[in-house]
Amino acid sequence: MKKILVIMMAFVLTIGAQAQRDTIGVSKFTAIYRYECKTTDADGQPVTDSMYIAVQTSGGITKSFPYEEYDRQKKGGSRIADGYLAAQMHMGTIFTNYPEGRITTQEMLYPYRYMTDEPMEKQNWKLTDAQDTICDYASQSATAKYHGLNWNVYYTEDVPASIGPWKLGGLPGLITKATDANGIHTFTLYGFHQEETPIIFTQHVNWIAPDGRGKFAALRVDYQKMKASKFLAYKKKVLGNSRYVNNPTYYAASPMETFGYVENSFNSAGENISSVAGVVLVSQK
Amino acid sequence: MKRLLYIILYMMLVASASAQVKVMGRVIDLQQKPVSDVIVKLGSGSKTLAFTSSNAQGVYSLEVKNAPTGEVSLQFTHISYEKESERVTLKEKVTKVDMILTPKSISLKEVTVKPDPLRQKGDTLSHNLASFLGKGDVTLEDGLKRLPGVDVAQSGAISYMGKPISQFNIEGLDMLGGKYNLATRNIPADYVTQVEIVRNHHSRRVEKDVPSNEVSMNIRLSNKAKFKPFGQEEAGAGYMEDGNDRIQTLLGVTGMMFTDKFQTICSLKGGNYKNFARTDMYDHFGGNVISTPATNLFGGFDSGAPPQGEYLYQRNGMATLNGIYKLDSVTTVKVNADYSYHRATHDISQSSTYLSGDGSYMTVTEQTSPLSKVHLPKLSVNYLKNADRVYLSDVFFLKGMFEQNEGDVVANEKEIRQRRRSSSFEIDNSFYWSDRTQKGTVRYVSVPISFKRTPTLRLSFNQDGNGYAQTAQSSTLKMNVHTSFTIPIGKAFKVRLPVALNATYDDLETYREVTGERNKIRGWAFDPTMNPGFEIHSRNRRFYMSAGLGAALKGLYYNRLNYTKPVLNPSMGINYTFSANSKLQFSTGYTTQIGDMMTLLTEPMQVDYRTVRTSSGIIGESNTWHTSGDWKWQLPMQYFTLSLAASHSEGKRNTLYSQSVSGIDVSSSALLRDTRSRSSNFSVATTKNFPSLFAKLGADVSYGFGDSEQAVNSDIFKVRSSNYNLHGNASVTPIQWLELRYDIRYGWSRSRYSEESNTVTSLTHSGAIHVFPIATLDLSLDYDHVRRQITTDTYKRMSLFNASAQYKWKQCVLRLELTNLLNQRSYSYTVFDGINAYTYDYGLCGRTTMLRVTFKL
Repeated sequence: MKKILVIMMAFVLTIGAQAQRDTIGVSKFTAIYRYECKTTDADGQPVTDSMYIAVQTSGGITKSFPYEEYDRQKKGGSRIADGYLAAQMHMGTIFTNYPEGRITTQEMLYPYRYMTDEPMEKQNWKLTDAQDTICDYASQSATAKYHGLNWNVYYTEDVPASIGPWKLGGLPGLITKATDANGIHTFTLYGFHQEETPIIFTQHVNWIAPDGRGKFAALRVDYQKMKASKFLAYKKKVLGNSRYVNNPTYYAASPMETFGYVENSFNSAGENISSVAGVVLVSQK
Repeated sequence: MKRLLYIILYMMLVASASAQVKVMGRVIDLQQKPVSDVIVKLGSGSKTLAFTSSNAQGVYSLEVKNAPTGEVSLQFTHISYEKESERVTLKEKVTKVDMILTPKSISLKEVTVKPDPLRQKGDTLSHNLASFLGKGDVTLEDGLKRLPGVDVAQSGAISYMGKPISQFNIEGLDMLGGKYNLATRNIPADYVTQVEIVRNHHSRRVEKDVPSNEVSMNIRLSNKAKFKPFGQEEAGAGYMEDGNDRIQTLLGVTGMMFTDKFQTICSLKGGNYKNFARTDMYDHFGGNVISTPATNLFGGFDSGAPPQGEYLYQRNGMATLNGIYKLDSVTTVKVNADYSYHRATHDISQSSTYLSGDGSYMTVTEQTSPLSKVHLPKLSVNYLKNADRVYLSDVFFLKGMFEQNEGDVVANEKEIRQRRRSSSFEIDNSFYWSDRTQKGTVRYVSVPISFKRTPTLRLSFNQDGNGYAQTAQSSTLKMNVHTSFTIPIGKAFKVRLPVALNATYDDLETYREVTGERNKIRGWAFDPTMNPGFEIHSRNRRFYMSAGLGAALKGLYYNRLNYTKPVLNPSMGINYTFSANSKLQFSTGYTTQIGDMMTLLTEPMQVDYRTVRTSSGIIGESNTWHTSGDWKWQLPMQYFTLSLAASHSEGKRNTLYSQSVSGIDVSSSALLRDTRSRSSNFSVATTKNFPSLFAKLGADVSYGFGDSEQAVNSDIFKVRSSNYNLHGNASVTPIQWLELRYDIRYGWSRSRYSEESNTVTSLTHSGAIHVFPIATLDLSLDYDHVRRQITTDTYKRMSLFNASAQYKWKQCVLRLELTNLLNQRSYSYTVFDGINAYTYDYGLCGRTTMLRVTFKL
């Protein structure tokens, strides 16, 4: 069987219509960060990618996740997709101190979803004297080594919340800017949404796919659970393979026939599927 | 010794233990409920000694080493509670401090998150169009004009940093070729999400390793524009204060559909309001008309166009069906079927000043109202396979051109009737195959074949009751076979050997009825070429150099002429890429061009009522050395672009253009005499956007000078010319309901020969004001104010004002246009063509009112 797999780059990759969701807290505000990552493309050309990240907090739990997903949740959509860009930049959804003393990360390594777990290591911040104004907030600097990187951050006591983007936090104020010493990753506070929003934890997602009889059906897709360290090694191995760029399913355990053509409101069978957006993969035999 | 060490260690431990204290407690609110996430900070002066956060039970605990002896401050902060602090003295090992917090309202910097206006990925710049759109923008073209570095000309031609785009794609598919106005003027701006500009674009993937200077554009559509048909209907009616068609109308419907495999755009438009229908069909990559030897010789009676103002009274219509189907990920089939009709007339007064035989100047004044009608049908089918290893393309097209011209003229108070009628058609098939082996060897074969025929072309003149005519017919069969292969030697060096054979068969006949003078030429032109060369690049591909020998054998075999001459056209190009944003290019080449069969037209031909053209019969040869260089620098994230360019060329011809004037009759020929010419040009262009202000600024400057020779009535003159142009433009949105645009151009040119010197200047201010009393209503006023030099001491000022009101309501745009508010009826300017001077005075269309409605379907 000759199979041609075509990746359709839609803004949203995979969509769950009825995800299993738990509300684990209510955040009184959401901090928005701009994340920039300096990297190279497939041709070795320097590229700076950027995306927005939303950070919610409540009762000691912090959730850092793509703004795209936050926006969709806020608008009442039941979808819980990783954004296309987020998937490309490998910026997952991070729950700090959930469960207590642990960090849970949900990330997509196309076409699978993974959930990892790791202990919440203390970040030993050393407060330094440098000051700056970031996003109109007077900020002081601090440094720490965390996850193998030397972080230089600014935080503001004007926003007394001991949180930050990604897994960073634990300072006497909100982190307003964080840069690793190599200058590859930069998080900069962009502003806030000052409204109460639920902090949602998803157990699994439903994936709309052809059922093999010309119709579409929702398939339950569970996260594949893994230790964070193991997932990191696995991710390096998969992404480090040049085949991934052209055929991101090469490492998939089973053929991708289950994933059909799915697009906003319409499917290839001409049926209307509401709240389904984004094309995943087209499989042609 | 050991004992001493133990004692010291013990003392240190005791001292340390005595200095380490613990501060702990519980934080609750006014309802006695625990408060979590409270930041508890212990400080002394401005120094932070320790900090922590309260847990879910409101409990906190701090440990301080080397606690100070005096008072310290214990601060409790939380985003939802008032800040509290307490002074404590750390005398005990454990100090307990509980705190009650009072709620407060939060005040944070609220923001709206928008997508990045611009992203850069290698050579691709992705613009989020919505970030650049102004309130009054309706079509994609309106949006493109606002992008940094992008320029959209009045014809709709798109260029990026001064480089015209070579391909226009929609969702990665090239459906329209050069007719992209059809998309840019009919796709609503809010249906487009991303505009991608790809520098160093390769239209053939097999050539992806070859440096490219091409720029392409790709449009990404929103989901609402995909998978279901959409389009727009236009209708309008208006009144013009003069002209044959005082009632102005327009009617159009455009439908389109874009899926992953299939795209189509179909449009039907017609009306007599400007050329709104026909411009959609304009092909920016050429091929708008059929060009045959007969139509080139006898071109018609139109005389250019003024730079500003609507001057044509026109009726036009078009119908087009375009579709592209994707057979697989690399293969497409495309069909384009077009028809357009254009009828235009205008009024022009022309004053031409020539140097006559006795050294005096002779001026001819003419008044004419040229009328032209043209029908242009075209059908093309294109198969394309564009894979990484193989490129295969076959394009077949069939097109026709049916023209009628009238050019009645009053010259020095004499009336002359002029008529022209011609029909032409063209059949063309272009085949191109290329492949690339695993080792990187690239081969190609290109076989374009075309047949063009003008079976009848007739000019007729009537002066003082005397009628006379000129006829012509021509047929041209052109066949080219190009092939090449490139062999890599090592990683940095490639040898290439392109070979081409161009063969053209011509059959041209002209007949001047009044004198019976006839030219009849039949024969072949053969042009085999071989261009052995090499390419070399550095390992990091920043440096690239290519050179070719350009050997050719020019052969002209017409009637009894047997002319064969070997020529060399060596060329060299160097590119250096400093970074993804900075590139330097340099090219130089020596070209020898040999004349064609047109030089064998030794019998006189009546081109218009007072111009007779005769060729010398001498095979012309021109040798030109051309050198050019440019540097492009852009900072996409700072929305800044800068281009510098310089070029120089020197040429030598073996014939000299010669002009004779007798009375009002002008005849031209060529003298067998070597003549030289030189020209140099320099230009600088820059643009800068300020997205936060919705502002775009641009400026460009150019300067050129050169000299050439010209013969007038057997006297030879050396003509020196120089010119410079300054241009600046700005569009800003100072406040939300106001948009301003301003454009200023200044041009200066001088032409000198013998003791004579002629200088003309022009200054043009253009501007527009858009006011949005409500978000959906756009009130605009735009103007052109022109000051042009007519003679040494005479200047003419003209002002053109237009106003419009545009209201967007759901899927509908209602627009009232008032054109030429001041009823300016003429536009004058002078140009120098070497020794001759021409002053034009164009009649402009009068004040016009038009109400048009556009519905999105």
